[in-house]
Amino acid sequence: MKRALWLLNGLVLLYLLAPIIVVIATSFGTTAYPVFPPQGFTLKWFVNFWSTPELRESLRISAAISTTSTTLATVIGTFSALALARTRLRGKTVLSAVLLSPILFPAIVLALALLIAFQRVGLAQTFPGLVLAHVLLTTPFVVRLVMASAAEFDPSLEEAAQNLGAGWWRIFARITLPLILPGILAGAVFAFIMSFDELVVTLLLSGPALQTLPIRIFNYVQYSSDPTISAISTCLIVAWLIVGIPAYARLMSVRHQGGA
Amino acid sequence: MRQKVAWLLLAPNLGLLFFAMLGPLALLARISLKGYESGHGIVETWQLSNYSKFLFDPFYREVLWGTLLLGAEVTVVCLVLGFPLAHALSQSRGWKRSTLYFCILMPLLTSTVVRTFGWMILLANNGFINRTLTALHFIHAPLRLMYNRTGVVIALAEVLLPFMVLALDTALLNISTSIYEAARNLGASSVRIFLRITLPLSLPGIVSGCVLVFTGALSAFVTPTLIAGARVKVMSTLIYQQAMMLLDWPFGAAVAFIMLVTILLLFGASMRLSEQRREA
Amino acid sequence: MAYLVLRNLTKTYGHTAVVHGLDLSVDAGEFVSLLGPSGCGKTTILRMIAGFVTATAGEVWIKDRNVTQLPPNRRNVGLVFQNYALFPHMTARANIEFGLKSHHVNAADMSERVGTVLGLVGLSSYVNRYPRELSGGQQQRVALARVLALKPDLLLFDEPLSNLDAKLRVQMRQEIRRVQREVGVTALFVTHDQEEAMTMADRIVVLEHGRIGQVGSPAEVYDRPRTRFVADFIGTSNFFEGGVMPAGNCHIFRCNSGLEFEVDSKLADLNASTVSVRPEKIEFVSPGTPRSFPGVVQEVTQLGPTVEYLVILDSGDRVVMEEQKRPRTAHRQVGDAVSITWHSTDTVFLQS
Repeated sequence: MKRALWLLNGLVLLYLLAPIIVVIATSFGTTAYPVFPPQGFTLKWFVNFWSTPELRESLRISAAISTTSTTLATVIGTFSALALARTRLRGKTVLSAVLLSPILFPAIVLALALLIAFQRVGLAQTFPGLVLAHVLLTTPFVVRLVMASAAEFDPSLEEAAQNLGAGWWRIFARITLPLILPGILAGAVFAFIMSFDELVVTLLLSGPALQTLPIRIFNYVQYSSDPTISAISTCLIVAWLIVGIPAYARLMSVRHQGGA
Repeated sequence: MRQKVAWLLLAPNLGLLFFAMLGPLALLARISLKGYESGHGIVETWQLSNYSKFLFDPFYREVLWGTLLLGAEVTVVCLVLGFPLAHALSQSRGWKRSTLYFCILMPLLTSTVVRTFGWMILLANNGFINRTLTALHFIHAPLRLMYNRTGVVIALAEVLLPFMVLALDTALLNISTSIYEAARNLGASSVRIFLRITLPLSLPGIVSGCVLVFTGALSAFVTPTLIAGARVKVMSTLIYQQAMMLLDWPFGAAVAFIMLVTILLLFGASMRLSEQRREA
Repeated sequence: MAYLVLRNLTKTYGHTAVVHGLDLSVDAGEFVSLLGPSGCGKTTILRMIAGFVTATAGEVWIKDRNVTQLPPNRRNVGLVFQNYALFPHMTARANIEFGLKSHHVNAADMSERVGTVLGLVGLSSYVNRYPRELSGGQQQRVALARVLALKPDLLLFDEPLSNLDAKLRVQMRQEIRRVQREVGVTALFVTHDQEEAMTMADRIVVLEHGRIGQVGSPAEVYDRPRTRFVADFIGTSNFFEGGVMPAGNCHIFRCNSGLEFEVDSKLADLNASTVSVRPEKIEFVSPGTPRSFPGVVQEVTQLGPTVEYLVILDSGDRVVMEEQKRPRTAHRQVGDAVSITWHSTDTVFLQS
């Protein structure tokens, strides 16, 4: 019975990882369309990705949007998290629910709502409009992760710092910030990944001049089957793993260390 | 921290939510009550016809039921496949747990488009699944897995499975091992323990996992579009169509609002349930 | 004016008063313990002195300066926390330097002071260790060094020894007292452990529900408790309810149970309805001795160096007595008929 369960779980895990394995594998195949298991080995699809101007342009646009929105989301989210973690505000639970609420809304609903609103104020199909939308969508993650970091650390550390004569700036810079940094970094990384991969809202709000990488992939995939897409996807998967694992590990390790 | 400082720090976030979320959602609600005439644009009258069209017109009824059915199917698949995995996860410790946890979490780091693309490759008529099954003589003709509901369920269930597993894991971790030991000590068999102890005690996790997956399936856009295109009509593709191609924003907004209210009600109900259970 | 003066110090949360108009004077160099059960307000008082709790009414004066309105980072009082509150991402040295930098001490003085205070607490070689590399007792000593480096006017201790195990606690008590004497700084020590207060403090302030029950030296507070609460909180007491009556040229206390005993006329308080006697002041005597009371031993408890007896007197009163074990003398057994007595000066009159 136990063995059967382990087999089942193994299969489920395989099911879970299957599409990722397939995508990575097909990016190295030599056939003109993605085949799994791949035949042959080549890096030409990666070269193709890099040498196609539209794809490079999309990469640049995605990077620009995501960097800008992540910076803003990290600052705004960190401020909120600090405010929530350090005060005895009335209605704190309501506030934190409100701040985390964008995650609850279906993307297509927010997308349409933003389209309608942005059209009115001339933000549709603009860079600032997209950045604004991305900041809205990713700030909750930053708030969540920074709050977790802030909650773990002992408020008496800040009291001790005050007792030792430190002003609020020194306390923030020397005590609070270093101790919530893992949360901020994890939040920033997560926000960046979420923003870069974002499709639905971006699809409705972008114009022909602002085709992000996910949009290009989305459109491409519906009309043609090309291992270049696998190559792009593999690059993204690997990039997120490289960036995501250390942030995740750092966040987990601080959890074990504790605040005091 | 003084209250004034706290509110100052919260201001940008609250402002963002007000102008970029509440405002647009209010506009969405407003426009759903307007009319639309192709060629003329939005008509400035107040009407509920958009809502009645969606809820009562047989064509759109089908879309609604189709979406709900899809949600139900995906939820059941995730529950059945996810429970054993979550159970194994909740029992493991140390590096085994970390690795397993990471394997389950990792797909969430990959975008839905990428994962769905992978499924497109797998589910094609001459894709890996069909070729393998044919080679093993399980089937004679390729299974139609693309451009139909089956393919969407398979792909969407994989996309949403991590949420179910993580929700179940949290609930299962709350059951202390000494309860299992006590049950064993009292002579219960594994099946009995599962039915009378594990299932009832993990019910909150089951409910929250199901709500997460169901709402995720209801609002899914990428996977149904890529796997089934126009063949399987769900609410999100309908909204997209109305918004971007037919430009009937009022109708699209009405459908969107119905989806929103459904999902919020589901979340609300599940939160109320978990509160009640905590008080009990 | 005394070194530290608390004047009518009050703290209310909503309608609940946690500290009721407290008045206290502490002299320079004194080691005073704030003692009481949890919820008595002792920590609140300490935090009001430190500035983390704003007083609802009243004042705090340190060295003739009214500090009541000053923010916590301007009061020059050093607070030693229960959980040490060492900055986990800084070494011992960095922890100590943190306060010095905040006070703009220059680099040369800084490293001299770090060396001095670490030497004072005996941790000179641990200067580059992180808190996670230190034991609980060592962390506590670094926390102490950290505040001492700033040469504070006042040292405040918030139950610093609660997280340490028993043996370490005894060791740290001596350490803290030694350091305090050496530096000569005035100290206020909050604790719920009466043994800690008794062994460390010059004076004890016993607190009950936000009010002072009694202030006095350990001996005073023990031998002459003022209220029933103090008599009960510190050590054990036998209580008798009743009233004082003059009897010729002396006074007797008649209990409600009928038991009567002579009391010292100089100490007698005619208004008191409760008196207490410490268990160790009661002794066994031969039956028939004048002013003794007969009874039966109901329980015998071995406490190590002493034996505790619960004796039921013929009058119905329950009396707890404690006797040192004496060599070559067997102790009493359950069921033994005995006679007990105590000296009239050991009857303490309690205020209600």
